[in-house]
Amino acid sequence: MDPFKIENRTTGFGNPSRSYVKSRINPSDILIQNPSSTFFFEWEGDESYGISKGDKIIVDRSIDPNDGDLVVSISDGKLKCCKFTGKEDLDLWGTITWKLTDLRK
Amino acid sequence: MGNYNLEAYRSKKIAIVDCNNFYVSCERLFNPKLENVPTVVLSNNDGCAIARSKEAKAMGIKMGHKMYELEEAKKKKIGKFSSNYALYGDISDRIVRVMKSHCPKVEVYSIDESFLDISHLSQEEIIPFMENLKNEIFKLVGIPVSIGAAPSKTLAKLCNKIAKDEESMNGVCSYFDNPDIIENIEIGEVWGIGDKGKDKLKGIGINTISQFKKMDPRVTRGLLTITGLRCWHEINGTSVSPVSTYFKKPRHVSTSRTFGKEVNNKEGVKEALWYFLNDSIKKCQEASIKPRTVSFFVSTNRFKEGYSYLGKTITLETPTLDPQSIWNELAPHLNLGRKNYHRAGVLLSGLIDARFETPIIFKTKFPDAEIPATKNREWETRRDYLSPEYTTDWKQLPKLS
Repeated sequence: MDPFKIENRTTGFGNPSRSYVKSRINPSDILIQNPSSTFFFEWEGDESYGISKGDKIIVDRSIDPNDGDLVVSISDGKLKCCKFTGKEDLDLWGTITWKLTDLRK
Repeated sequence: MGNYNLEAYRSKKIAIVDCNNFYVSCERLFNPKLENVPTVVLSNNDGCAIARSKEAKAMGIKMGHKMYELEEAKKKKIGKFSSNYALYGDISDRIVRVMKSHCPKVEVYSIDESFLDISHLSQEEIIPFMENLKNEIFKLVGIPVSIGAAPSKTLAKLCNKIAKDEESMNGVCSYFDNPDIIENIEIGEVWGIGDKGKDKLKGIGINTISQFKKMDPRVTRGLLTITGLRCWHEINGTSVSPVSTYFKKPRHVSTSRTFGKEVNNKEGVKEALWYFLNDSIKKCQEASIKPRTVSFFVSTNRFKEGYSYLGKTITLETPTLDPQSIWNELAPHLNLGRKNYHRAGVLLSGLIDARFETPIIFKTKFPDAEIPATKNREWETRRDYLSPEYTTDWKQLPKLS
């Protein structure tokens, strides 16, 4: 339900809290800073870097990685995850920003 | 005509951003091993090549090249893909968003080309603007583009071609820095001239742009009609087709397909038409319009013997977007025989604002026609080499390890 939507009713007293209504919090606000450059991946390999099989990975191409950040890079024609050190010559695809883990068993 | 400010039309600065081999670039984004490998994207039903990488062009694969005509040896060497419009549409939308963050006036011309009104920039600012935009699109979305800038769309298109073809240009080309750059281009390359126009011009000895520019506009008009005259103005630096950011209400909305394989039963064809109708209604909803008339057609393969075509246009009782009530009026006209149907389509026209209430004075009661079950999808387009919908389906995300 959109809290901003004005109900199609003509009777009743107007909702006094209307002026204070705000959008409900939405995870996209923090997960997707730049919609044009954000892509989702799925982890398929063994657990590493604290990421396990089935986790969803969020990658933002607009962010320049800092030392120690996880990044997606192109190696041998494949997209691979690695740690950014800034030393080696890396064919950078994007910077990993978040992982989403389903915690249910 | 009154105060018609000609100077305003002569001082335009227009850029066109064109994605390089767009469909192929989209496939390569998630499949980097295709980099430097000849790659093609195929039309509906995987018939012919509709997008080719630089390497595929170098192998002699033409636009529209039929796949079954391609030699086996070549076929083995190339990467081929069915068209994945869910992916291309999403990537295109991302690129448009990036452009709009750099320039307020963007006209989306097609899935891979947009015009930008950059009249606010000075001549010196144009090249840095274009280089920055090109790099930004590549960094954020991963798609290589070429950009050309000129006083008119037609000239900008030519500059774009130079930006794309000449490696020294680094993907950007400004007419304002070197107006002579287009002088010797062949007239057939000009947007809007076409093959017929080219032949007519060659008939009177006009082969290059520099010759075309010097033509008498009255002669141009006589030879090529008003379209040719517009083109002449554009080539001479007057923009007659401004960058338009208005929402253009479509005149009609349609969905039609060649079936993946022939369908020889009524249920199968009805199922396809029902799907096409719903698809067209969806497009109308997105544009907030509703149709007054509905047309449909079904046909057998016109290259085979016994070609048969059935088509009809129906004026609806009232403009509506309700699929069931449109179907009720359409279904009685579907007098299908036992033929090998090959193609079908639905077209919605007489489009009006969806909010417009149209009163019904005399209501005919149409019985509810049976909705075809969408189970077999025999008609479905053949897409044997489809890549995943990497960006539009949670179940098809690209894999990472």
